[in-house]
Formats: sequence, structure tokens, C-alpha cells
Amino acid sequence: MSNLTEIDNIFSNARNTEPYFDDRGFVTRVTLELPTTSKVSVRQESVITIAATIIGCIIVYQYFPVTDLIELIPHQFSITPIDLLVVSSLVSMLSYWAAEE
Amino acid sequence: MPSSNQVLIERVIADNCHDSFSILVERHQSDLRYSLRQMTGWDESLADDIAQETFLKAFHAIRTYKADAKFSSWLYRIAYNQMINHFRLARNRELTGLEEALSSNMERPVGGEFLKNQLHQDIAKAMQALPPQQRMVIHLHLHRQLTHNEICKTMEIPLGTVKTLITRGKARLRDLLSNWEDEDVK
Repeated sequence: MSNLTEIDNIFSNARNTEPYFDDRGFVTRVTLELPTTSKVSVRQESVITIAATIIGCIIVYQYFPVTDLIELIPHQFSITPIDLLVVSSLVSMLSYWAAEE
Repeated sequence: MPSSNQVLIERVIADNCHDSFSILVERHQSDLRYSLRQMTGWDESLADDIAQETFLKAFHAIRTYKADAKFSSWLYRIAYNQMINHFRLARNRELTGLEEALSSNMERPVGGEFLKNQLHQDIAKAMQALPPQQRMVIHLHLHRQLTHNEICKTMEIPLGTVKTLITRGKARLRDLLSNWEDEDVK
């Protein structure tokens, strides 16, 4: 038998005779250290958030002058060559910056 | 029918369920505490402290657990990190442990049940002669019977390193455990 196989046998003996450690309060000690359980679960939290968002949207739709604001948006634009140049420069700069990033 | 580890983990993630986590702790506590005794020269108090820290870390990091790995392997990885942290903080204590391990390996009384317990402690003390990483690799391979690839993934080290650590570790342990070579403790 080679020496290395003998080491395998020693560990095999250890594996076969490995003791089982009784809990003896270990699990309780770990559990007591766990952060306090949130009163609301993640799932409940999501449901509450979605419901609140829907209610909020309905209230805003009822009372906020959305249509008046929409009417404020101009229907026609007139753009001068200078405006066009400024806008295209800004777009170019933004594209360059995005590509660099 | 008992719930699988995966089901329990999902409950912990979804509902922060302490009861499910307690079941996981109960299932794995004995194995982990034994392994950590092997890693710490059979220092029961230290091993239990590290085991407790390991489970707490596992609870906080449970969302990072990937189901393609064994839960126990994931725990060993956390336990190893906790052990390394501890040794970094108490380096002097580790060196003292190493000296004690080497000197106490010489004498060994003989007798049935005593031999069984003594074997575990002698292995633990012999392991103290190895660096912590090698200890963990040897333990996972020889005791927990993980394959080289599984150890690679668990410990996040290259395959070649795993093989080298095992070969050299075995050779070193052969000298330290020479008294046990002809014993049969079953």
C-alpha cells in the first residue's frame, strides 16, 4: 500500500466515524442573531406599491389639468437655420459623449 | 415530506422566513461544525463561533446563492472566508496553535471509542501544519469527497493549484499522521 493511499484510508476512517453534533442551542443562537423579520414581506410590499401607484394615477387623472397642459404644447414649429445648427451640434456632442462613455 | 434546500432558500428570499432558515441551519450545522473543528485544530469554541458567523453571513447573502452549486459547498466557501478573516485578526494565536499541534502529535493512547474520537482530533491537529487554504482543500477532497473541479468552483482557485495543494498536503500529512497508518478504528 502506498503512503498516499494510507492517508486516504485514514481520512476514510474519519469520514466513516464522523460524529453527529447535537444542536444544543446552536440553531437558536443563530436564529436569535438574524435580523428582525420585516412585518411586511417582499411580495406584500410589491402589491402595496403597485396598488398605491394605481390609486395615485387615478387621483392625478381626475384632478390634474392634463388636457389643459396638452393644449399648451405648440402644434407647429418654425425652425431657423441657426436653431438647426445648434440642435445638430448638441446632438453630435451628445452622441460623441455617449460613444466615449 | 421535508422541503428541499432550494424550496427553503426560496422561502427565505421571498418572505425573509426565519423558520425555513432555521431548518437549513439544523440540516447543515453538524457537518459544518465538524469541518470547522478540522480547520481550527479541534478548537470547539472557535469552530462554533465561525460556524455561527458563517450561517449569519449566509442569511444576509442568500440572494447570491446560485442553485447550480450545492448549498453545502456554498456554505464551505463562506466558512473558509470567515476562517481566513479570523486568522488574519488572530495570527499570533494561529502560530501558537501550530506549535501545539506539532508537539502534541507524538503520543496517542490506544482503545476502541477513544481511538475514534482521537483520530478526528489528531487529523485536526495535523492539519494545523498546513496553510488554511490547503487545509480546506484537503478537507473538502479527502473528507467531504468533493472532486477537483468542485473544489475549484467552491474555493475559486485554478485546477492546477487544487491538484498541487492536495498532492503536497497528503505528503505532509503522511508524516504527521504516520502513527495512524496501520490502525483500523471502525
